[in-house]
Amino acid sequence: MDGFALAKTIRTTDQTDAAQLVRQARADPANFTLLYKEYVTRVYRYVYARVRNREEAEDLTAQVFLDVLRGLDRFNGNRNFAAWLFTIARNKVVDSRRKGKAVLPLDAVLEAPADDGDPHRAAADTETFDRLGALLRDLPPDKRELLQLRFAGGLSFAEIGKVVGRSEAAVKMAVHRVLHQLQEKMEADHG
Amino acid sequence: MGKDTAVNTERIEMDLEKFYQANEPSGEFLEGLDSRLTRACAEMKNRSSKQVGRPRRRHWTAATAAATLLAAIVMIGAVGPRQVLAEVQSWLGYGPAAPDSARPPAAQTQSVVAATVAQVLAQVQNWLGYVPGYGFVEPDAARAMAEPVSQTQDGVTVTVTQVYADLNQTIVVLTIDGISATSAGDTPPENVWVTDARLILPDGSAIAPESYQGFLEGYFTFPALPQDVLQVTLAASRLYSIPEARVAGEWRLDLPLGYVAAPPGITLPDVVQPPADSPTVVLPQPTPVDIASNEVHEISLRVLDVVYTETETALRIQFEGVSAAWWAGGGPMGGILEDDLGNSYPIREGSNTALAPDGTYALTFEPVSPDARRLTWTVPSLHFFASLEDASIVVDFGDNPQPGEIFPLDQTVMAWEVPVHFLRMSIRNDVSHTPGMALNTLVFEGDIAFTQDELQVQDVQFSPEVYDALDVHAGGGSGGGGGEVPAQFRIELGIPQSTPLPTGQFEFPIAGVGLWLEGPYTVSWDITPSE
Repeated sequence: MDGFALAKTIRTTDQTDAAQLVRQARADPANFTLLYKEYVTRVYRYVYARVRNREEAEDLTAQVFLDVLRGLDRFNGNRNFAAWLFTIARNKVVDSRRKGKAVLPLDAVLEAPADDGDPHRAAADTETFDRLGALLRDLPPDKRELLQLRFAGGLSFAEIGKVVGRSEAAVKMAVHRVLHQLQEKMEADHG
Repeated sequence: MGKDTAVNTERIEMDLEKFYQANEPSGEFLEGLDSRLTRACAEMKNRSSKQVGRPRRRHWTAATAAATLLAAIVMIGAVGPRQVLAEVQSWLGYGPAAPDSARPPAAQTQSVVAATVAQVLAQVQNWLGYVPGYGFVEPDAARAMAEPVSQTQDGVTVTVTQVYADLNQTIVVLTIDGISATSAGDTPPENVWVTDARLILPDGSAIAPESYQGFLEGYFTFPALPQDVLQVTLAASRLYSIPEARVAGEWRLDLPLGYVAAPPGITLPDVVQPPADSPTVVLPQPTPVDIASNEVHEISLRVLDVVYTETETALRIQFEGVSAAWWAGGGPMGGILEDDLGNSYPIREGSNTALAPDGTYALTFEPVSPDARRLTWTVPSLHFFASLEDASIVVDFGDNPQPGEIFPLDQTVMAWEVPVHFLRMSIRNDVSHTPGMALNTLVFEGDIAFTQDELQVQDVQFSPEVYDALDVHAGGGSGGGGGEVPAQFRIELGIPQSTPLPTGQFEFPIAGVGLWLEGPYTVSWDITPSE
């Protein structure tokens, strides 16, 4: 069995597309919206996963893209754009935490499922999310962040490696291990 | 171990995806951010068009590109001939991985062995071909496509006009027709391209592209194909970013290849001769011109070759008298191509103007009239980014620098014989476009004394490490130009107030300057009847 047979549904952006979008935006700032639309949902999901507050996530996501727009000419076209973008997003979150901007106490909201007010959410999903949220809360922050970058940000292992300063292989191994742990705990709960 | 590997993580991965993806940004937020970004984009565009020395940022990009190009040249210089030699050896049958089918007949092999490697390499390197839509190539043991291949779905046609595969790369040139504003959805119709593309080889394996240049007309660069491959399929899942409901998503174009035949008069076919029963393809051949322009400021332009095709006219050119530390800028070099009938031919969008490893540039224009007999290329001015070595200024920020402070500098840097005089630096309080962010902007002012009439310093660039060291959030500047003597220049570096300003002495290394050389440079040549 391939121990690294991770889900194939993660949506990443083709590097060629990203480079093309960056070139377009550099040539004409009006084209920046193409770049923004490609990534905004993924950045928002990642930021939300980190701060667990809709208002703050929106504020930080907006800051990320305005910063990217201003700094696009400084981006080295040979580098991975998604990694650069999520590094900026990560720094924004860290800065925000450092400045004590969190509206709610961090422990109270950390890794709680989103309260989107949808009364039709399946009860099974709610139960799974509650349990998953609790398991994620128990993870060391660095492990939890790998999952946030992978599943909320939709980054490839190589891109995550660039964001957190580790090799692709190390990230892949770490994600694999933490997924195994989570899977086993979830199965133990159900079994 | 058995227990560990037996755990299938697919379920938990799906749960995690659902968990994190439940948090979608609201439509209201996206709409608001979209408006803010659009406004910010418009402001940036407006501001940059008002700057006298507009290409400040572009210069920095040019510097990065220059460094990359330099590295590429060094790499090609080190590896290229060896690869060529390996290929020649491969054809001869004594190099690595030479397939039996690719070996030339024994008699040819013997005649080639008599030739020195140096002669063979010289012949390989002197053989130029042209790939319309891409540029000049050196087709050593190359394969190409004889006829364009198209696929049409939902009124949209993707045409691969050429595939060119040599030892180092595979180029796929394509066009997209039939995109309407309706089908393009949110994407401007002119900004559509084929995305998520890969080349599928006969053994079913796929290779991903390294880059794509262009939009509706453009080319992919893929890694080199295995040497015996004469059939590939371009597969792509979609057109960027057209909804699949409007245009079908799956594209598959089967692309047959043939070996590129050497032109008459080249003795190379004795060496690199494709197998007798292989299909062959002839690429458009350049016509040598080798005429230099007039000289202005000890610099001239030489037109080396011209290619005339039904779809474009391409020039291969070289600068003469230019320092190795100067890198040509964009637009102005395009110039104007005119014929003896009074027609003028604009430069084509997406023209492949990149510096080739041999120091030449290529420019592509619209195809010339078949009735034209003489062409004239006129370049009004030249623009270079000129690197400076060991040039810097030093600012003493003191113990507690504050907004409103002015720091007299009176420091002069020599930029290619032109003195660039830094007068002062001041710190200004600014509001960033990023909500809630205030900036301390370092404003450098100076003047440039022109010492030579046609040579102007357009602007001054700090090294990239300055931007990194100071966490520069926004930058700008303006330069000289306009022929005023002395010209003023200004460099602005916006630093978030959350980042402490330097204290004590801080060195600002200077990467280089933008140089502007007034022409005009003019070259004329005859089009021979056979062309």
